[in-house]
Amino acid sequence: MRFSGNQLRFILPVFILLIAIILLQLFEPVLLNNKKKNWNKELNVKNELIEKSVKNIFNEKIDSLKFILNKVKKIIKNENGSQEKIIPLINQHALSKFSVVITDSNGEVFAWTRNILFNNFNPRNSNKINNVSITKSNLIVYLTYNGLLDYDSTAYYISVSLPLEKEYRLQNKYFQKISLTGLLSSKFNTQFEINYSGKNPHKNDGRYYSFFVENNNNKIALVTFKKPNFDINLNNYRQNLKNIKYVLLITVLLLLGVYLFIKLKELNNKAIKYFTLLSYLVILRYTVYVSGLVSSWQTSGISNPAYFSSSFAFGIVKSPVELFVTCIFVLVFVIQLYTFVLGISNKKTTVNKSVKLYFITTISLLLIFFLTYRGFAASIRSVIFDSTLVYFNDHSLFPNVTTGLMYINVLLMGFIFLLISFIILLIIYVFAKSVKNFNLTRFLLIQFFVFQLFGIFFDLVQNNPQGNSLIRILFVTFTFLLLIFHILSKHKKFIKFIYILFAGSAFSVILMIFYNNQLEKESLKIYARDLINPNDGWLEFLVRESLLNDFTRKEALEAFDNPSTNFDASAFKIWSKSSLQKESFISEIGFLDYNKKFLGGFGFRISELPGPNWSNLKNVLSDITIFKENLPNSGAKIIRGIFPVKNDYALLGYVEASVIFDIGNFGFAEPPEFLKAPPLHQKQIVQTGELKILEFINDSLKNVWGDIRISYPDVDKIDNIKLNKEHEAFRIINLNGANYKIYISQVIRNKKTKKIAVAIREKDLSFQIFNFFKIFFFHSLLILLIILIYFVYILSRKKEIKISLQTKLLIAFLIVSLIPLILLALYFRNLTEQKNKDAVFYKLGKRAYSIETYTNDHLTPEADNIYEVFEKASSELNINFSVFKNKKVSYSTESLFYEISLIPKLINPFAFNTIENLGAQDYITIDAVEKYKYNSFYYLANINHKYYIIQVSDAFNNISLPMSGNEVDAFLVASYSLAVLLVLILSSILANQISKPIRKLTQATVAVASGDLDIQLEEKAGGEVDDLIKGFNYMVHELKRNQLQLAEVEREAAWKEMAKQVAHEIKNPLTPMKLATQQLIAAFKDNSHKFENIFNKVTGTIINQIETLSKIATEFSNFAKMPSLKIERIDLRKVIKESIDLFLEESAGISFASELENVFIEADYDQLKRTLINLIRNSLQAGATEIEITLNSNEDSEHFDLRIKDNGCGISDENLPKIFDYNFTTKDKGMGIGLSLAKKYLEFIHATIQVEQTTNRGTTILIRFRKSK
Amino acid sequence: MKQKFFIVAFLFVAGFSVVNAQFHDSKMPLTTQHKTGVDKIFSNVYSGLLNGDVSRITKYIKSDVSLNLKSGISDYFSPSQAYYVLKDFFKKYHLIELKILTTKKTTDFPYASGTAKYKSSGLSGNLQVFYSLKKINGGWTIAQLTMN
Repeated sequence: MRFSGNQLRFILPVFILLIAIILLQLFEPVLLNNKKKNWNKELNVKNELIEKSVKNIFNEKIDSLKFILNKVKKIIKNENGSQEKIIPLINQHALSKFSVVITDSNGEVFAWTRNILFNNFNPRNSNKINNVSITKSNLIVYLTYNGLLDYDSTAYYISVSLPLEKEYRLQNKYFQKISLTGLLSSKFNTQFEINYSGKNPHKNDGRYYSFFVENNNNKIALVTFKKPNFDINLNNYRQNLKNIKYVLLITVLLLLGVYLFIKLKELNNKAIKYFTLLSYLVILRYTVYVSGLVSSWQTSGISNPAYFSSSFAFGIVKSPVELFVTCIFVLVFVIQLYTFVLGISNKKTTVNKSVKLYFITTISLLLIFFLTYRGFAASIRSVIFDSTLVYFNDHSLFPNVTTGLMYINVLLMGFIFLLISFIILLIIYVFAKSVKNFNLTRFLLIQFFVFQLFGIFFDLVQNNPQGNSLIRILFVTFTFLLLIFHILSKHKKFIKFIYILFAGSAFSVILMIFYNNQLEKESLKIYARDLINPNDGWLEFLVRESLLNDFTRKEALEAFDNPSTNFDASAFKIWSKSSLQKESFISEIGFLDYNKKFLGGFGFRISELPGPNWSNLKNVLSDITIFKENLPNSGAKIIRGIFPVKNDYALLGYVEASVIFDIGNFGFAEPPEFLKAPPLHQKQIVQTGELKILEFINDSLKNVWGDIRISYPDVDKIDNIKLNKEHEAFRIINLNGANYKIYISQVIRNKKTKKIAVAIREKDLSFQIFNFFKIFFFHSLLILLIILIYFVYILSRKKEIKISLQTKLLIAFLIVSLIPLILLALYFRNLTEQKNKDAVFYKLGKRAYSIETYTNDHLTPEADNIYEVFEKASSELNINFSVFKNKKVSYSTESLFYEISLIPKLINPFAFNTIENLGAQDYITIDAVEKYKYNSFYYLANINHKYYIIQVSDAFNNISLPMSGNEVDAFLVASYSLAVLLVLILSSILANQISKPIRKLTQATVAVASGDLDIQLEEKAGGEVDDLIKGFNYMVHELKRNQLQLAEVEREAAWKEMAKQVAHEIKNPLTPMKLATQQLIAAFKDNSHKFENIFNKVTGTIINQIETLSKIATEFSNFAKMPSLKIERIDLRKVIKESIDLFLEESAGISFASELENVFIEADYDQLKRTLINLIRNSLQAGATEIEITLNSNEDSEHFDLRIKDNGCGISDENLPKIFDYNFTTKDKGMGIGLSLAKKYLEFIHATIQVEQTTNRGTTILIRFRKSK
Repeated sequence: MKQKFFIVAFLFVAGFSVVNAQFHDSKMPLTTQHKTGVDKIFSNVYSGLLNGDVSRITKYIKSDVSLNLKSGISDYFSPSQAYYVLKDFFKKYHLIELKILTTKKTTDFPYASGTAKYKSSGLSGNLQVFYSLKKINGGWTIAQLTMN
């Protein structure tokens, strides 16, 4: 078997890759065995490497601390110890990772950094000078380097620290994770434990490896890690080998695919071609899926089914990236299917197909069309419901990677389904064309109404129709518009694809918004059900889990072991790492000593909780005990758990966890933003703070939660809503002038009817528009990118891109309109942001002044009740604030956060510096807790002739603005997107209107250059363009007249010349004829004896001269017959296409279809083109709106048949025999020589022309050409 | 003509498959659910968790379920999502021991809670396990599953 060069290019690498796969398979046991043998050696090397790397990491940190310390020393020296200058310098961005404290010899803090969370450094402990040590605050473990600078007779004790471990975790986006243990565990892919106390011994277990990290013989930390596991390593190695094999296999398939693609191009049987393509795509997709290579991609969660997965099609869409890959495969096939159907639609259709077949096909395809629509809507529904991605709650314009990939998937789905729907319509159109008496307008109108009616019926018969009526109607309408566009326009496939992309995007996003609204309903349902039937078992489990997890036990033991433990902080750590934080229930963690005395605790949304009622419990608890209690003076339930903490010797104390369940749980005593967990679950797209809850007991409104005023008629409205058999209902009702979505759930228990109504306000139109444009904008950018890539591709092939006048005008209009729009939007955004900021600080400032005034008004003369007055001020004025004295916080309504060191006790250094050193009255700044930034107003208050700095911030005070940042963004994006859309549409229309007459003129000029002098343009444009057209028409008319005149003159001159020539030629033989006859007459008269000789000679001469005359006549006749033509081998398809192109601006649709590839004939190129132009023009002048030109091979395979079929008025029976006659015309301005000349010319090149068919609905001209040999 | 027939047939088959997949959800065997008691469901869920047999668990997930897993997953998932999320979880975490310490079957939300030991990439640890049921359309469905 031999392969050609081209085939070898593919077969050879495929063969090599297959050999590689087989070898890999064969040698795999050998490789694995080799790994087993070398494992111990490898393990030792790994362990040593890890130890070295960890020590390097520590050394780098230590070096950085030393570097910063030296830098700080330089700053102090350079600034001559000026506090005012040193504070800003040590707070510069380069030092932001570090905590720096400079104290004097009395331990008084001199300068510090913003992120200071450590302030226990005792400078008198000289052991710590120039030494690296581990220091702990309440929540964080630091690596610290202390130094001393003696400068200008002042001793500066400098402590520079780098955080290593945060011992707590906030389960929201604000948390700044710092964990050396976590970093090392993920870097080396094994479990790490770092003991900073240095007390715990090495683990002797052979599974672990321990070593000390030291600095100057000081043990800093004991690092222990679990040795790399042989089985895990072997499995990973095995998996890598498997992945390599799959990669090779997929490469083989891709190479085969390319080879197949080239071979398929040569196939004539399209059905086999596309079936083969489909099979190949299925095999390739299946192989990719089974290999798991796509799913093993862990980048940014794109392979995580938690973000999106569906069980459709056996799991090939089980993650965002799998969905993307599947969409690409389907896309490739659908585009090929479209090309296939397009080819069929362009072919000449044999008329007289059966009407019955047409109806059956139409009904089947109609059903498939609506199934496709249903499939489309269901897919988008799955994107919303089978996903935990929140597409619309996040207001950022640019999505993260996973959400961005889902946006791309949605765009692809929109395109694919819309294209399939269009293909279905196209097939119906092709079938319709083959039926007798086909009329396009009638076809479109009837089909459109049939489709819309069927759509209504289709929705009625389904239990659960997808989408809504409006979306369905728009979808059908748009698909029909696509069909009309396809039939009437000459645009390339790519342009049509772009339109389908934009439309697909729009429909996808509309469906996403539709289903998102349904998801809101589901979200309300979940809230309502949870409220009406709280799951006690779940609450008990939460309490149990928070007490029994490993961290709680470890932390509790350490807390009781350390005499200086801050139990509040320890309780916070336990709470932060438990599920209590995630679930956002009102909860508390507390420590009790062995005498059950409260030592400290942390409460979430509750400051004081009564202690447990020990009377119901055993005196000494041996194990965890869970019990329920009622909160005094409230209907709330407390679920409590108490767990005894013991070491080997004795009971040390108790840890207590409590959860309070109350309907008021849900979002009313709002915690500070930085402590909020995401909404109960990401998929709960309704934020708890947005909820309004109404509780009815026995049909009477008992409680209302949420910021809502509700009148009695509204209460009745809600109470009277009819419930379904599940005792639930969903409505959209108007309450207090605004529309609310409301979900009601009812339960009857202990003869009491309890009804809960959970409501959210409907978002206004600007949010809906914002939601639409947010995703549409992203899609538009992608489509623009595709257009750009396409242009680059064209440029690379053709080396130039012709940009039409219309496109140039459009670009110019867009630049002129969009740039100012965008600038205006940015300006308005910045202005609003600034105004909002000013408003916030103004409101915070007012609060600070109020505190000062209130305090002064309520202080006793001795001012000994200042903290009580602060307390009262806070509750009466409803303001949360902190007061600083001598740099430290002396009072705060949020004292717990200071106590546990989540917020530093030292004042913001810039605030201190500005107010104390620079003499300002107030200072505004952005403070931060973790990554949560908030606005703070610092005010120097004079309270009873003493100065305090009052801080008021929007972290703990609700400052409402007329328009929040998100609302401004939504409004701007919505309104400016509409404006951009309007600008785009208007610019397109204007550009088209302005350039249309120019385009027509260009086409007409080209037609004139090709010899068509019958062309006349209509004057409709107005203005100078009309003058131009008028001038053009006149020029063409004059050209034609001059051409005819010239032809006439030339003809006359030619005839004269010819006549002169002929006369001259004829005279030559006539003279000897005359002389010979005269000689004969003389001989006869003379009775000459030579008469016979003379007679023979004279008759011979006369006959010769007559021969000469005859020759002259023949030559003349031939000359008269023959035009001067250049006959050569020409491509008939090219001539036809060029002729059609001259009529692009005509409103009639001219199509050309031919399956033939090589069509060569012998003819004169220009004359043939003129002939075809003439025939097309005749059709147009006969009123044709559709002209179909087809080129086929004749049955005898010696000829090509060119048919020009139009739907004009036809030729009457009377005129039919005369149309090829010279000087016959039915036109007012015609000369009647066109068809005559055409026939003459065609016959000259051995072609024939005839009228194959003519009726009052159209004419078909058949030209039969002889094939070139 | 043959080509047109082929296209129509292909589109019909494709459309049928799409519809079949969509309607798949609605063809739930609720009759089985009605007969299945809480005991049987708990027993199947227990086996499913211990053996990593996801299908055994997900056949009782008929509506959105809350999953809180050691791998960091914490959200509500649709039934089809839950299948793949759990499958992913059990690929990484293998339960070697599962003890149910508390069960309550007589409430509106029957639940079971306990502890489990797991192994993951050579590391081992403990989990708190909780699962509860709720009634939907007259049948039981898993409302919550926690392994944390």
